[in-house]
Amino acid sequence: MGTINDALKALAGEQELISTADLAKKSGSTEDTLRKQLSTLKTRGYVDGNSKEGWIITPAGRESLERQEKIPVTAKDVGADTESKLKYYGQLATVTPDIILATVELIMSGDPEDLEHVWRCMSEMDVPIQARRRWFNLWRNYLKQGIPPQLKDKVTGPTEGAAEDEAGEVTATAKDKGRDYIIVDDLPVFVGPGAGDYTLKDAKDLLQIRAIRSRFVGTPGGGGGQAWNIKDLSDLIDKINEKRGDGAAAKVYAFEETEQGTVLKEVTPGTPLNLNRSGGKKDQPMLIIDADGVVQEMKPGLHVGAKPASGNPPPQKITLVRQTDKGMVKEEYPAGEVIILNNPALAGGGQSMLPFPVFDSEGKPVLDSSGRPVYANLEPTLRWLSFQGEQKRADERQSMLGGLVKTVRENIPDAIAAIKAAADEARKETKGTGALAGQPQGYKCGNCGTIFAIPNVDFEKVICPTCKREYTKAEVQAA
Amino acid sequence: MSFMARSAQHFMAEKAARQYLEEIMPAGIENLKTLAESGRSIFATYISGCSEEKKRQMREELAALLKFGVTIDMVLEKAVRQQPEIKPIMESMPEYRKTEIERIMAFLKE
Repeated sequence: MGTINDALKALAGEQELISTADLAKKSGSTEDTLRKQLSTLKTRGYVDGNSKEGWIITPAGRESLERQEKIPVTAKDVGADTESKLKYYGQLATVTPDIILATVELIMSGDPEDLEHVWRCMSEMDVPIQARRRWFNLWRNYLKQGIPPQLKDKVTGPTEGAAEDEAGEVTATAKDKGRDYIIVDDLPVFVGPGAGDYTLKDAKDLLQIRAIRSRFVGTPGGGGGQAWNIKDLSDLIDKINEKRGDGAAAKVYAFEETEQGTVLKEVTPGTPLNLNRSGGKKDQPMLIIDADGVVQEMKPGLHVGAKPASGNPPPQKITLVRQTDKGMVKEEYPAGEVIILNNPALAGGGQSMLPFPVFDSEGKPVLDSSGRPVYANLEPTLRWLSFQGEQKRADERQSMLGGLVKTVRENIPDAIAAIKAAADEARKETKGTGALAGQPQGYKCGNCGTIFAIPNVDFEKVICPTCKREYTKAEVQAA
Repeated sequence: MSFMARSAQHFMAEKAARQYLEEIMPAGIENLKTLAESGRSIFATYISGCSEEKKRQMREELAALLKFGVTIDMVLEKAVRQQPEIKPIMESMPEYRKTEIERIMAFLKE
């Protein structure tokens, strides 16, 4: 059976991808074994590829072969001595061969069973931290020793982003990973790996929260936030009053400084407003906005009587003009009264009128004796036209249906009836010639005994439908 | 002839046979047999009962079939397969079948 070295050597002779089956033949091992060997070699970076596309040796694999390095697999390969074991575990931990050689040399200069010494040697040889931990733990388990307390943090510590100083101390922690940003002028600025205060996501979230807060509270320095002040609110109220129109009474609002902040209060017309500023700031003026939208400074403790709105007074009467049988009627109703418009046409009463002004030939409106325009009632005419249109449509539909029925009657029933009539006529003729009704004038096949019909037309031969035997006219007539 | 052309011919012959059978079979197979045995043309009898509009339509359809290479013989074969009851009429009397085809062709030339 081929070893893993044989597999690597077999691959070294190939310049292109080779399938697992071909490689198995070449290396002299079974495919299953070879797959495991190739998997191990791939883990070490000596080969590349897969079972589908094939396998190829990597430069690292060639280098390994050139150095005549024997990859230890069995106990015999590994060797029973401590140095061989240490090298073997280094290879398993994916440490590069040069570093393995140097580190083992250093370790063997002291006590290889002293784990602190082993860790120090590995650190001095700059073995990468992850591979170092793997190598150290493999060696520790081989020696059946626990982790020394003083090495516990180093061996089981965080793996990502860890850095070491010259003494082999882990200084950076995973907490610092990604904290590369600080916030300058509401923008996240990259200041170097681990040198900042926030991760990018944290910085963005924080800036978003700041923006939202400043929008509602306002920032003292005006740093980008949209702060609301009293003038903005008074403008807003003015706009609301404009939208309401002249009919609605304008309201008076006052801002009061309280412990909770600035509070907007509506001033009821005719009601005194006590401006209490116990919770407000002493250095800020008290403002009031009257119905005209003018902002005035007020002194505390004063009573403010808001006068009622001076807009246009609401209408007192409603004028209604409607068409009646007596002509156009103008009616007035008090404002607020419910007016019910009775439509006699809808109520099933008399005929409603559709007024249409009458014009003369010159296009001028026709006036009656009192000088008022004359209106024509077009309602009956329109009804008559509508009736005529419906009648016409109904006639057309009826005509179309009639034509369809006629067409259907002309086609299928008549054709079928023609066949039936012709068949009946043929039967009568046959009966007249003495044949039994329903019994075909036929010829009995001498082959199969089937009686089949003989056509009344001229023919040269007939065929039995059952056995396909052909009979000439002479044979049939002779029967 | 390409595979597509043959398939199209086959399809059209099948459809034509089905349509004509649907139109004629309501007359009853016994009546059709009687007509055939008495030497009367089924096609001519059917056509005589059709309106001019229907005749024109049939003429157009049959002409279209011939234009696509679908012969009357092919349509009759398909009709026999679809309706085995008419097999004795068509197969036991080759002369009758031949006469029917000639009548149909004559109808097309009218």
